[in-house]
Amino acid sequence: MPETMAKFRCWSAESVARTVFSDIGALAGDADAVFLAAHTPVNLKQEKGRELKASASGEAQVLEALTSRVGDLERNTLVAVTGGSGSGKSHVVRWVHSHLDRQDPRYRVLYVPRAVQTLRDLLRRIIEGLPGVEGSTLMDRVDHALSNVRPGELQERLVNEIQIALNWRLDDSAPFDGETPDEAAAREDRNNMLGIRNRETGGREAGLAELIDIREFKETLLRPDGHLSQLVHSYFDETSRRDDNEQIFTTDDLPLKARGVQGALRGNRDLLELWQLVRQTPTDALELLEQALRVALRRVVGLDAKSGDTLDSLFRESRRALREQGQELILIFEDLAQFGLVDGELYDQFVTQPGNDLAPLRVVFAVTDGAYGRMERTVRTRVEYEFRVDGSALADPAQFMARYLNLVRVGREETLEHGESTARRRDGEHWMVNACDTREQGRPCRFRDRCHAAFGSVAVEGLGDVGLYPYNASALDRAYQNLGGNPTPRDVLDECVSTILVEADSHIAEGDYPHARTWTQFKHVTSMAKDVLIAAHPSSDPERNYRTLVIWGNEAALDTSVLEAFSLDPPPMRRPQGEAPKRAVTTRPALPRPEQELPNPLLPLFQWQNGDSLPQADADYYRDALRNLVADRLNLDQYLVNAYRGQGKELLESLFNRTSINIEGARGRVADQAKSVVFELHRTADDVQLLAAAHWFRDHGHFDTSRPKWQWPTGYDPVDLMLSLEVRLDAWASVVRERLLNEAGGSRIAQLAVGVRAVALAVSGQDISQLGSATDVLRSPTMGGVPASQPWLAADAAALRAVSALKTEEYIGDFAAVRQGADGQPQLVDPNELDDAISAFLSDPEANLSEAANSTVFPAVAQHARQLLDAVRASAEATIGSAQQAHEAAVRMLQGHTPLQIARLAEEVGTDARNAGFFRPTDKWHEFLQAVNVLNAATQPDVETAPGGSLAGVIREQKALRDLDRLANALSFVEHAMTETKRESERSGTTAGDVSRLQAAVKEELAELAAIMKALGPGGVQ
Amino acid sequence: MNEAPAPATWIAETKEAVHLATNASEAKKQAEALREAEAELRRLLDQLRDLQVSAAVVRGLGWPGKVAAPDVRQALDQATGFGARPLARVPRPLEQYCRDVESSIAAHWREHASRELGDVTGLLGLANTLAGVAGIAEVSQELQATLGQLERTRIPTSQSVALLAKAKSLLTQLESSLQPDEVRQFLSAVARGGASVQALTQGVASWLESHGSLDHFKIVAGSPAGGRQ
Repeated sequence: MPETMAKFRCWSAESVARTVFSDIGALAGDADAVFLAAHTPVNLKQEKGRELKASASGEAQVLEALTSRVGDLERNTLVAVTGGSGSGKSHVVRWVHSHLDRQDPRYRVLYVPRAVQTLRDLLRRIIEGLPGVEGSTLMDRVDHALSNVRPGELQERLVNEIQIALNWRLDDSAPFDGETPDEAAAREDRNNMLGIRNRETGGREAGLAELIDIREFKETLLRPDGHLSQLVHSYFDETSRRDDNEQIFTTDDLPLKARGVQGALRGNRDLLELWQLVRQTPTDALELLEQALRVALRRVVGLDAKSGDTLDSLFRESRRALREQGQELILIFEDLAQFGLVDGELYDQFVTQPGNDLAPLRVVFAVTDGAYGRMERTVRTRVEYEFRVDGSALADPAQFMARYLNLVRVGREETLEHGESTARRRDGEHWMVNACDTREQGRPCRFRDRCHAAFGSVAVEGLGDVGLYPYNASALDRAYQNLGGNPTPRDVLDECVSTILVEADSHIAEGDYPHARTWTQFKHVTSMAKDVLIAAHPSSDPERNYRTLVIWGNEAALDTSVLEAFSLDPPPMRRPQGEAPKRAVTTRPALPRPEQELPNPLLPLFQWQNGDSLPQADADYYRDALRNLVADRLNLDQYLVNAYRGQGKELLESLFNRTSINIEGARGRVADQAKSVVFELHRTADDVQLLAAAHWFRDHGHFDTSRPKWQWPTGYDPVDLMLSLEVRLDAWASVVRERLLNEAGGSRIAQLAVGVRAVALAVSGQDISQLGSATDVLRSPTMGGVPASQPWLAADAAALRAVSALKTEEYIGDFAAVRQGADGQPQLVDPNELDDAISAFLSDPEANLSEAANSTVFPAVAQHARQLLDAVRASAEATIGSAQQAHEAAVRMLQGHTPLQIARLAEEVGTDARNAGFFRPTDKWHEFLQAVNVLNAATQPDVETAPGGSLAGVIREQKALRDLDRLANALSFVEHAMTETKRESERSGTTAGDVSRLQAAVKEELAELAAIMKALGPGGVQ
Repeated sequence: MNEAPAPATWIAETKEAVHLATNASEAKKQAEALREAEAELRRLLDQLRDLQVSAAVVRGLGWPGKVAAPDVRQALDQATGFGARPLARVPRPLEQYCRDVESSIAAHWREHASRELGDVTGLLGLANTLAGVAGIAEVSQELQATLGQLERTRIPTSQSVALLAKAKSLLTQLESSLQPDEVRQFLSAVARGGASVQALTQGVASWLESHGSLDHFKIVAGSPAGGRQ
């Protein structure tokens, strides 16, 4: 019986940790063998420099460029390796370092790996690595500068030193030969930004340094989360730095959007102009700030001193010593960017030619494209060779991965042991062993053949066939795809080796690989529903089996060895006795693959099932489809509800709409369950089947797979899909119907609507005796009645709004009517409920309006009821008072007469006066006649009491109140006209005026005479 | 058939004003009649007001009042309709009534004054005679002035009662000043029309001499007042 592969691993998490370093800086300098063992040759494009030996290629060209001038004492050699972040340029430099012959007496090597992180470590590495120097005073100064100061203080000192550098230390840039007009303009802009040189003091005025003095500017530079702060902290914290952030300053470091800068500069024309220049060309200002920062930083961290060691002096000292010994100095920098803002010292050495007393420098450094572009021109022009990483080590991902898979299998110790011969490595001999062939005491791995057959292998130059386990071609491809379109080698190592292999080690050992997290580590695009695939490949661990089927099997049957290695159930094998097992074949018939020429719009759905988000368009499609399919089978007509138009449709829309379908993880608003029906759809087999069925049926209108517009979803049975859809739609329709009927309360909404209209009509002055039935209420006119009294106007307006806006007949038609016929119009209405509602509303309008106002289902009814109720409540008291006043006035003016009697007499007097020209006001004759007509038609008011008296009374007797108000107004108007007419008559006829006065006088005299006579008589009292 | 109620005041007034303004001549005639009546009534009213004051004086002295004749009251009632004729009929009976009242009051006053003072005219003469007599000249002069005022009063006013009291007081004061008794009798006789020769006693002659009044008396032929004293 063959030995099982279950839980077999040919690597360990520890070996991964000790051999794989995505950041070459983390790999110790003495572990070259580990580095080389997995190194994939890099394609390099020589951008600059003389032609090298044709035999050399790749990294070897760089090595040749670096060493080709050894022995030439006249000049230095600068070799730059450029490329994007993570492209492998540091690996090239590391390769060069590992292939240098350290025993060569012609040179000494100073190697600065990326592993060096802080400024102090960097300086110490250089000082200690420079042959023949001590450098203790320099290190003491740096230690002192950085040891007893807080980052905030250092940051503030930096800003001050930046200002000093701008004013005093930075010189104007001079023109240079071959300068382009753009370069000249940029240079002049830079010089202008520096400011105007004061000839007496030597400092500058009206420059960038003065702008920094503005509070907003300085605060921007000093902000805690600013770039300057990050830089300062990087000198204190041992954080791994990569060359991703190449720029020190960005526009965020300028107060371009801050308020107050213009104001602070008011009155200073020079600075105002400078600020405008900065705003127009912020990048120039940022470059100048960076230049100043370089100068400032050297002073602040102690690199710049008038006495004692400096980096420059130490370099010179070392170079002099080497020159005396006839040796040269080779400098190897895996990442020049790590020198950051102190690279000036280094660049000074690069451009300092040997002369007669200094050793020549042979320098190779890796630098990002951006940093290289910003490098001082004087240095860049002295770079003799420039190589650019061209193409990726990932050109053949399987090869790349195979080297690392082999490295982790061989392990660090064995790799170092095999690679200890530097000479062999330099000569290019393939020294690394293939674990698949040698793993077991130099013998091939016992699973080699089965493993390679099941998981695949890749032929690697110098190694032979390297197995891909635990990957296979599909898994590796999906792992790469999961990293996006263009991953860097660093990305691949971080994820595919350092993460996936380490996790695979423990989980394979536990027998639960691929674990759930693998779903996020591998691209898991699928072409069929999860449940379908699981059903076709039953397993005691369906989830893990499913992941394996997708990632390793591309949704096809898996090789039994894969299942075995991952401790998954083997497929039930039934083969004829004696027949050899077929490779990567299961006994289950393969699922029929869909027709390739037809599209498959369900793919996003299957991805969603596997955890991806559902695209917005798909989500909306499913929501609309399900919503419409459910709506089609509500059959609300049977419940007297018309859901196809008007209020019924509106209610249905509010209760059940697109947002009612809540698809797990999908974008889009989800309805509030308190207000609407919500149906949840999760990434379950049932819900996916439902969605697939809805999609198919929506697009096809049938479940006939022989007439497809797109691929029938693999593995689904048409009957199952149809039943799934039918059952769910019926269930949902039942929920929606029940909710709608419950919300609408049957015909209650129609009752509320007709009741509100009845009250509104009463409020607007309709005679309630004419509002006895729904028919009366619906056809009752809304205009032309007696106007409301002043205090009732607001209530009247609310009533008219309610009457005109409330489509009462629609509520009745949509919720209380039977519809028949082709047009579906309401045909039959039961009036009893509606009539009762009207009676109830008019009997107790306040309580019934309150109920309608609290209806949450029909906002329009509730809104008008609320407005009407509020308005009548607010108007009632004043209206009652007004009615009482009108009543008193009418009774007073009528003086016991009927309005008709007053009308006739007033008309007679008015007509006489008008004929004689005495009627006043002359322009009110028409109104006078109208008032007379009002009196003619008015009824005699009750002398004892005014109508109304309560809110309900005011509503019910509104017509009487209005009549009374109109009567009082008419009487007042007639009285007014009579008074004015009398005055005019007396004024126009003076005599008449005298008669009136004389009559009064005579009348008074006669009365007095009679009184005196009486007093003079017998018994009179004097 | 029910009687129609009177029209509402505010309409009726307007109706009248309109009516008047419309008929200007009628209004003018009515106004003239009213104006005349108003003036006449005002005059009569002034008289009656004066009579009312006097009546108040004599009412306390037992004056019984004067009832108006029926035609006076009838005229007044008819005049309240402001008709021109009724108005014109008011003054005549009313004037008669005024005269009747005045006469009644004056008679009652005179009678009262006589009861209080006696013959006022005689008293005035004596007072005038004695006005130059030393010692009583001042009282006599004041009595003379007071009596003159009373003499000019036909019907009493509110001051008349006080004047009457003052005159009475002055007369008492004067008579008490005439001592001895033969002098008082002599002078009283003189004051009342002349004393007899017998009344001119030695004592009287001495009094007249002592009071420097010999030049104020003379003997004339005739019967003495009151006969022989």
